[in-house]
Amino acid sequence: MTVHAPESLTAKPTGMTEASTSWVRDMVRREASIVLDGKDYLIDSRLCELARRLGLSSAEEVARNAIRGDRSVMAGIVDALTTNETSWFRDGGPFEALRTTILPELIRARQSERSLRIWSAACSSGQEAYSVAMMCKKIVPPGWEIDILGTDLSRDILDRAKAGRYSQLEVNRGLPAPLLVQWMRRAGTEWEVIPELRQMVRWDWMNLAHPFPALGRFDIVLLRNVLIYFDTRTKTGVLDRTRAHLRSDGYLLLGGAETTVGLGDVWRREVVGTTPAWRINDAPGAHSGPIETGPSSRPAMTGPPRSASPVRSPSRPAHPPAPLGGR
Amino acid sequence: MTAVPFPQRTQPIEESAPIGQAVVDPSSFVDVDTLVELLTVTWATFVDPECYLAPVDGLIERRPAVVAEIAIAGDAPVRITLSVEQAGAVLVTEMMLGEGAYGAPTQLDVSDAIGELSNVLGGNIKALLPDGSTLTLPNVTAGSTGTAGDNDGTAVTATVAWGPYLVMAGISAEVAGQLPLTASGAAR
Amino acid sequence: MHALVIDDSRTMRRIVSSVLARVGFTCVEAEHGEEALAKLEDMTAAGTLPAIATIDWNMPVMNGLTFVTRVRADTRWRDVTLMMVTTESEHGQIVRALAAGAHEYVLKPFTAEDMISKLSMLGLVETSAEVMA
Repeated sequence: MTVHAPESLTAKPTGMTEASTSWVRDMVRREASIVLDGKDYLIDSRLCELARRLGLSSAEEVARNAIRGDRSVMAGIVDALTTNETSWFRDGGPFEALRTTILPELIRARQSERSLRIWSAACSSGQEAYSVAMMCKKIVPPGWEIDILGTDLSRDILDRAKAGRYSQLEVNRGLPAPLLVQWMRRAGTEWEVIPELRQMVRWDWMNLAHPFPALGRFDIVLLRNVLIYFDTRTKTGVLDRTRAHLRSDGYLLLGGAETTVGLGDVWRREVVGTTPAWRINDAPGAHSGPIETGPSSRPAMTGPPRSASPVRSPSRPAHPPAPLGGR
Repeated sequence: MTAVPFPQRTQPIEESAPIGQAVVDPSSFVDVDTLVELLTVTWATFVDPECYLAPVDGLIERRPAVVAEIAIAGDAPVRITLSVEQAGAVLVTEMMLGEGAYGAPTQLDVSDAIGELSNVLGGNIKALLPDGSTLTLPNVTAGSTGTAGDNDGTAVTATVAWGPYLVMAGISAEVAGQLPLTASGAAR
Repeated sequence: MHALVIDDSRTMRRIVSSVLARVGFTCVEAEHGEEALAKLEDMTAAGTLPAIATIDWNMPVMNGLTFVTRVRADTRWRDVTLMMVTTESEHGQIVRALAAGAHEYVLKPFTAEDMISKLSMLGLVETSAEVMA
């Protein structure tokens, strides 16, 4: 017997129309396979937050912009409604791959340089970059130079990442306790990454859909759960530009269900443990761009980011939603 | 609910704050916004992920409530009170116990649930106090929503509405000689 | 797989047990460390040693830290994963618990996903999107 809170406890604040809410629900189901039936309140409150961040007047306006075709607002909506269950060491597999194979291999390959450059693209609030930093501290020999770059489209979120402060709810998920105590300290109701780790990462604003600034070449690029927001043309462009900034023996890590399939054969898929990683394929005749071929035995690029799930619990910083409209 | 009354407020005196200890001003450690934030996080995590606790201002009528008290000993001794309007306390209990709970919860269930919520709230408040503080076990009685009750006006209180139900949390300075609570088995 | 859920609050024991049950554990409950040790002995004798024990810190009679210390001192229970589940969030205290032999630490309040994510990290459960629903 399921107990449901009475109507008044989940009363919908004013703002979004039924049509807009319905559109948002369908859109996130389509784009990220997230099911939000019966969660109208959450859609409303998250879009209200998003409206504030985007400088729009209301959740309804956010929805309207997305309906009109503003792709970045759409991505913003998906992002606001996606629960990142393990924003630390997200999905597990890629970080295991880093630990067991990728980092040790690169350490061997870079013996003479004794330096590693890693890029966390679309870094959001920074947990991925800091997770990589923690992994490096564990694996990379002392005395090596480790340069980690985190970039994102939102200056606000970059500020958050730079500050390295996370709520108790955020550190409670996906971060092994020994790493929590080693690399973080309490700060009021929050936890803060200690300076020794913070200084391993630098942060910069960047729009992946546009030409890249001079980034140099990286040994590892993490481009996880962001390509899904782009159309094929943009995705090809991003991957081409990324390839130009990856060392010839470097590794590209994408999100769970993401692939470069259908985007030319300049990428070579390699499975590390259970994790797919992408290497540059510079065999003669390899070309980029969509291939007009017949049916392929490989699965088409579909599906949600592996950790998509119905929004069930607050994953955002533990601030209560601000009073909405007439409350 | 059955007619069996909640235990009234009598506890054996086992420990008390040292006489002459300076009274702490709780607001120097926790402000109202933080208190509301902690309440909201606790509620959203354990009780109702989609809840919104609306801050309530102004005069609040006293309604029958389940009241949990928990004390924190240490350099900044404080007493924390969580009171949940009676009907809301029953609903909270049902939601925490979740599926599989058959029939209405007993008073013991309700006591335990509100006590645990006060434990979680208390623990998170303790994290904002000086290191080395300890938390007692909660003491749950029948009471009413209203102020936390303090002797020198420094209490920090937050009253919110969980839908139609009032929930109030308060932190007041622990004054030597006040009714202490049974210490937990915490080893320090 | 079996689990031992240790907390002086019956409500909390129910919450933890229901999360663990969702990912396939059969749960035994105990109100404090001493009762938990007794249950552990019973389970050892019955051949149903728990894969994991979730442990509150603040409990009457015997607290969680003492329980952890006692379990780690007994070689029969070397394979029982010990996971604190507590409001205690002082950095030094968490270090203390890990140093005493706890493997993991979940802060209250926690969501089902938080706990399941930790279990997954410990290799005790496969995470898949279906479980989260």
